[in-house]
Parts: sequence; structure tokens; C-alpha cells
Amino acid sequence: MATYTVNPAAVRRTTELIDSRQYVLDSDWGKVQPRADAQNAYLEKHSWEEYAACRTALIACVYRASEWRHKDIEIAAHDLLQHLDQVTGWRGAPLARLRSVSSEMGAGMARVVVDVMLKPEILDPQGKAVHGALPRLGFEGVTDVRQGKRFELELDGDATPERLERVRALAETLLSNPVIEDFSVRVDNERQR
Amino acid sequence: MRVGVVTFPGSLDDVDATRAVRVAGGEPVPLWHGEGDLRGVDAVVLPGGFSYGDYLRCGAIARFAPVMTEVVERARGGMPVLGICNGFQVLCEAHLLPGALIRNDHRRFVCRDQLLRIESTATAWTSAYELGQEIVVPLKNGEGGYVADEATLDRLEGEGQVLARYVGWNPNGSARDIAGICNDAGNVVGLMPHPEHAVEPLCGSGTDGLGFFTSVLNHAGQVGVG
Repeated sequence: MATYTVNPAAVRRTTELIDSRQYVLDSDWGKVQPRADAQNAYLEKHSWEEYAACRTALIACVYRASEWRHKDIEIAAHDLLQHLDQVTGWRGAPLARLRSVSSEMGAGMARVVVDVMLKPEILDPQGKAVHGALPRLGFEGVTDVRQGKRFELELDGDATPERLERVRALAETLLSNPVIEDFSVRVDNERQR
Repeated sequence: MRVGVVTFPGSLDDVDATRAVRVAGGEPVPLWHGEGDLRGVDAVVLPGGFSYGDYLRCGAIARFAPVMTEVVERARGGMPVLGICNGFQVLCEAHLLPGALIRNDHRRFVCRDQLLRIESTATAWTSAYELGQEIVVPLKNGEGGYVADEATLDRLEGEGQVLARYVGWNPNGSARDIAGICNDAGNVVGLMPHPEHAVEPLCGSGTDGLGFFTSVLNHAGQVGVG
């Protein structure tokens, strides 16, 4: 019976091959190019067939290894596929990378969070239903549950006092119904650099 | 008399409302949510259903549909507007009516023939009934519990703006058994039950709902709109 194991040397070599194309991309286009441009540039320098063949081979490897339960090979191929896509700027490149590029270029991006809750005096049947399910799941000691909504608004710049005032107006007009709900607005500081 | 019936994405009862207008003797005019033009109608029905999938809150997004700009403006100018079920929710979200509608207190969708008592005949949509008359019309909602603060409820009752109450059983936990209210001028009416489903004997729920639609035709006659 044949055995299948990950060949570390092959993985290393494939990684190097992918990385060498990264070098081509970077030297010609720089880090701050949008992904679509970077990918087009890659495809101009390397034929579509060449790129697609590499990708297809990795995908086939993931599928086959998964089908035959060779977990370590599946994971190695999966990681190489992610690496290839990230290097070539294929869709799905980590958002964090985009954000860091954007902040290097000086464009602030803020996340503003709007929490909406039913006013205390308004009956919350959904919260009651959730509360009623807790004992059945073995959660003890919860005396009440109220259910609300959380909205995350991504701004294309900093959360200035003026813009926060606009968000408050939005929260009062659309995101909440002041007859039955209260809302609060805050800037998500972890996201605002 | 031309009675517009608005279709929002997710409206269900626009066709029944259209038919009810015709059975009552009016001329129904279909209105599209995305168009600002009311096509010269003399009254508007906002039908039941689940506009925009009830996303955010029932009626919250429909309220900002292009057609609503003129509906709100003309409602403030006295044009009769009837909001049924989801339409009632839209009217509350648009602040044409006070209060709001929340999920039924028993958390179940309810669908039944419901006994109501007419408590005001001084509105554009209830003049064909007798004061205190009990009628049966279908009711079907998941979020039909009417709520408002105590002062608002007192004012609604004091000014005769509660036009119908549930009798026998309160099907959704509505404050003070309220099934329908009107604005202070009496031209804008919100109703949780569905009179448009009770206009022909063939459908099995009686014809008690027809009065809402004949009322508005009479109203038009009184104020000289034809």
C-alpha cells in the first residue's frame, strides 16, 4: 500500500517559487497598488495559463488529500494556496493588509458602533424566549435577558465630532425607533488608528 | 373616487386591498413604492405584508420609500390614508400615527377571525359603521402589539382616536385592547386586523370589512372629491 507524506523540501521550494513572483510584483508596482492592478500586472508578466495551472494544481491537491484523509498534505496544500493567493493579490487577501496600507497612506478609517435596545418599560418577547431557553440548556443564575441590535458603521475617515453627530441623527431616524428604543453611539477605538 | 394601493417589496395584501376598493365601488389605482407620483388618487391604502422582509423593524424601511414622501405630505393635508397591518406599522414609523407595534406578547404568529368593536365612527374610514358595532374580520400578525406611553394612550382614548378594540381576546398584547387608531384629524387610520379579507361572502370570513372601504367613498362625497 502506498504511503503519502508531506515533503518539506517540496513545500519550501513551492513557497520560494511563489515568493519569487512576489518580488517581481513588488519591484514593479510597489506595495500600495490596489489588488486588482497587482493581479493584472502579475498576469501580464506571467501567462494566465501558468498562474491558473499553479492554482488548479494546489486546489486539486487540497481536494484529493482531503478526499483520501491525508490531513497533513491537505493542510500543506491549503496553506500554499492561501500563500499564492495572498502574494498575487487574489480576492480574499487579508483585510488587515489593506487597512495597514490605507493607514500608511494617511487615510483614517473609523468604526462607529450603534447599540439599540428596547426601552426598559417595553416588553421584549424575544429576550423572554431566550431567557426561557436557558434553564433547558443548564445555564443557571440568569435573572433576565433583553435582546438588542448592534450596528457597525465603517467610516471612510476619522470619527470627527461632526460626523458622530450625523451618525446620531441617523441612529435616531432609521436605526432606532425612539418611541420604543434607546440607542448609544461610540467609536470602536481598536479599529481607529 | 380613485383609491391608490401601494405595493412595496414584500407586500402581500395589495391585491386583496385593490379588490376591496373595487367591490366597495371605488376605482383602485396601483401605486409602486419606487415612484414618487401618486397618480392623482384621492386616498391611499398601505396594505399588509412584510415590506422589506421586516428588516430592521417592521415598516422602518418602507417608510423611506419614494412613494411615502407624497403620502406623508398629503396625509398631513387631509387625504385619507388607511394602513392595514404592515401598513399600520409603516404609518407609525412615519410618525403619522403615535406609538409603535411590537412582537406579540405570546411570541406566536396569530391568524384567526377576530371580533372587534368599532369605537369611533368619526374617521374617514369608519363612518359606515355604527358606534359600538361589533364586527368580525381576519387578523394575522406576528408583531401586532400596540404600545405607546401612558400619556399618549390616555390622549388617544380621551380624543376618541381609538377606533376599534379587540373583543373577547386580545390576540397580541396590545395596550388597552387597541386594534386600530386614527390621527387627530381622523383621516389617517392604522388597523392591525384585515378588513380587505372580509368583503365578499365567497371567501368565508363574512363581509364586515367592507365598511372601511365604503366609508372612504362616502367621505369623498362629503368633502366634494369625486
